[in-house]
Amino acid sequence: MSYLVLARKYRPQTFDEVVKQDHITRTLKNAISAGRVAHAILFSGPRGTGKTTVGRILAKAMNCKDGPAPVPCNQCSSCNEITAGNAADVFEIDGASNNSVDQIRELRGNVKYMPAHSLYKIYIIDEVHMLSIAAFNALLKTLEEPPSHVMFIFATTEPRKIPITILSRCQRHDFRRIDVESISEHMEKICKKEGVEIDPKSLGLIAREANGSMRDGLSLLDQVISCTQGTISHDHVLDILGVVDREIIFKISGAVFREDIAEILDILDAVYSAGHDMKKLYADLIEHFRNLLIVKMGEKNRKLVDIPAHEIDLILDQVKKVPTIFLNQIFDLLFKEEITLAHSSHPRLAIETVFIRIFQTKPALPIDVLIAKLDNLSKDIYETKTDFAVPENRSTPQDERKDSQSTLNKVTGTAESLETFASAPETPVDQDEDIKGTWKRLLSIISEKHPSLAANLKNSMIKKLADNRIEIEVNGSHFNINMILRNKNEAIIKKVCSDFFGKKMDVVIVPKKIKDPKHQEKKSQAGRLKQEALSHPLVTDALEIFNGNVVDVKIL
Amino acid sequence: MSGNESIIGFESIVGQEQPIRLLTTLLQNKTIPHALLFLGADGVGKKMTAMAFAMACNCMVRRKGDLSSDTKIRDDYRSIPDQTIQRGPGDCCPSCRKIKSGSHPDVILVEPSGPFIRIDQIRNLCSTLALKPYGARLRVVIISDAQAMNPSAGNALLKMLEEPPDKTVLILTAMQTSDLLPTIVSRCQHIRFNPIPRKHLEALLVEKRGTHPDDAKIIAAMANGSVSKAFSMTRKKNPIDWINRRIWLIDEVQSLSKKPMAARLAFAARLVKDKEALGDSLEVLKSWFRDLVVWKYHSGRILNTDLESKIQRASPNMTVASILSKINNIHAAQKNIEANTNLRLTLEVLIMRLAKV
Repeated sequence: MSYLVLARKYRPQTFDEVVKQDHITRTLKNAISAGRVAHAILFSGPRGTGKTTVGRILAKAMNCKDGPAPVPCNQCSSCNEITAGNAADVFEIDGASNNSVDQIRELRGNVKYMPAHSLYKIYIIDEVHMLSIAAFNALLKTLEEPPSHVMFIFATTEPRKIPITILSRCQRHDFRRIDVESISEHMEKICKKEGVEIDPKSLGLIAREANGSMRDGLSLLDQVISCTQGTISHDHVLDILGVVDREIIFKISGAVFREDIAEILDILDAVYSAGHDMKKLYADLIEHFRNLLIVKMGEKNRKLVDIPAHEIDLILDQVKKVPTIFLNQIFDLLFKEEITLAHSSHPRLAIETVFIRIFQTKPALPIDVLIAKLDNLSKDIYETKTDFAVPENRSTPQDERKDSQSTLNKVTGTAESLETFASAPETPVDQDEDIKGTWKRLLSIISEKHPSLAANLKNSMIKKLADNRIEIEVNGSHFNINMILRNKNEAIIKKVCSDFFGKKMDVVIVPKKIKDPKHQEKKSQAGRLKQEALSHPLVTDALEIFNGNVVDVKIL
Repeated sequence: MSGNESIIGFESIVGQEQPIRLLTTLLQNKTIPHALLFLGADGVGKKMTAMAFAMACNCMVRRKGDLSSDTKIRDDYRSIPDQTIQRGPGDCCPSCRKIKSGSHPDVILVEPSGPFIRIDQIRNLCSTLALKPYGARLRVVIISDAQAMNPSAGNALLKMLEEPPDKTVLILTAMQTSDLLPTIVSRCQHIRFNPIPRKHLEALLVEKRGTHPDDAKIIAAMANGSVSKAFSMTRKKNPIDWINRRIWLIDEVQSLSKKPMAARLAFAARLVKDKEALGDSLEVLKSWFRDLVVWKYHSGRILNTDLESKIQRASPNMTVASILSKINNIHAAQKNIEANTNLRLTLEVLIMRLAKV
């Protein structure tokens, strides 16, 4: 017999040995003792949580020598055959490679025969999600009302790929992820049986790497045991697992907060040349920043972070001076770039880019602070409008305002202009700006009472603004200009201007010259071309032959 | 990595001390698991190592006593490596010779046919494995580029991968675990291969290919730790002279903004013409832009070390944000190319975006 990996060697043989799936094993045991076992059972759940194992144990329990028993004896011929995988009445079918409708038809054909020597004929279909649609449908009738000696056990990692018609005919049991503690406990037991000594810290690490799957954990443990001679040190375990040391992750986050990009580049280079999986590193980093964020958020969230106490202290030390919102920004960015990384053929380059991008983002201010500042700003504007003379009558202290200024400018482009407008309204603004502003206000006054006139004036502007003389340049079609030049309208404009400036104004309306000579020349040329085309002998001939007439002449 | 070019045997694999040490310990401890997963970038010697491992498992040298008894077999693993060196790797015994020439009936190699490993290949494999091995002590199945398995093929392999018959080892090679089904990953023991250090690559190029040391330096930087890539770049038959092409690419891209539209489009057209080189060309550009950014922060970490003076000149003229957006543009183009868009259009759009200052 060649070497058996731990996951196979220590595959549970009774319900009680199955780790952390009590909700399923208890149900099944009770069902067996009450004689209420469903004829079709579906096991679903993540990889390595015991679906196939429980399926096999159930088959054993049903076919055990002493009739269905909650605890299979593991001694009778039936149990032994099932363990060895050569039982005549238990068919373990690989759903992924026997997925066509023909194979299901064959199965249906065989269902009606009685079992060879056991109570039940049990079909275990593993990876059942890979059956074709036709195969599933061919199974429906049999699955609904199988002969009394038949049981179906399905196992899959992807229950959502199974048609609902199948799902509704099965009793479904969902397997849970196994938590870190249970995995490491179980591994400790196995290590004892194997006579291997291993540090509990290393076991914890392996269990964390297993990610809720017992088989992953045992594979890793196996690798650690078989790749080492003598005692197993923690460093060695790190090395074999290819786990990036937590210290490195902490170094990276520290460098992020210190804005030390050179260090990050150095670290990434080292990690890359050690052959670590960059995508894995990235996943670790995301988790790390999540931890940072949660620890920062407060004491009572701390139990959501699945890390040892000394690391929490380290984290607290690191995030002491970092604002939550900045952490949040980094986390967001890391998360957003994850997709880019997943598709990248050179993950190292992608990670470097992500970090450079992080350095490009500056810590933002919390939104409530921003709102408070905006409030102050608008209050200032309001005050300055009513009373120009008291700009220093502000409710916020001056220094706070100063440090907020840079961020505010970045956040809202208008903030700056508002600020200058608010603090220094009386200083003469740029002449152009002033004229434009005046015109805008004029227009708004006009549009209140005479909307049609305002519409005509929309494209116009003030050309000159002297003491008591205003020159308006009207830009638009002939119609616009004619409308504006009407006596009635001219009078309205004059009145509005006089009211606005508080003195009598001379209003001069100048139509803008739009007809430049080039345009005219073009027009005349076009006419000539048209005439030429119409009088062309070919055209006249064509008109004559086809008895037609010219609809349009287009110049290309 | 074609079999004829490489000499087989652990000692000929450069720069992979760690995985080889792990494998030899497995051999010595006689704890070879039934499924191994070799992880590492393309062309760092995964397949070659798998072959060497198959040989080491089946080498007949120094095997005294009864040929058919299994109990004896594992006793002499320890002696194999030095024997192989003495006789020249791959020539020590008929078994190794057969494996080397690819005709050993119990060393099965599954490779992608076209872009995928199809379900039929896996079904064939499973039915072959259901039979007893012909004569090998340990039957070795090598599935190279396992990420190429489409989902149905991957799923079809699961049962076999979990509990293969006696005396069978499955070795899968892949770039990253994230490219594979999680159910496959969890059934294997992983062995990581690191990218080959630049110095090793340089030495290898000079020694095996007779490349000029200066050229070797550049190629080693471009190959990103992959032996096969470095070799293919230096191959005489290769129509593309990578050293000059790189300079040409970078010069073109740097001068894009000054050129008229017609010249930009012509550049795009030229890139499209060499379809095989397109992927690498884009990578060259990406690493160039990356260096431009990195230079601003940490000049010691640039990849294109021979172009340092060029980078020094170009880097201050561009803002970090604009370079980052250029890298993003290239990235988007790569993604589009993968999604089978019109190459010419994609490239033209990319070039126009890169031309923006």
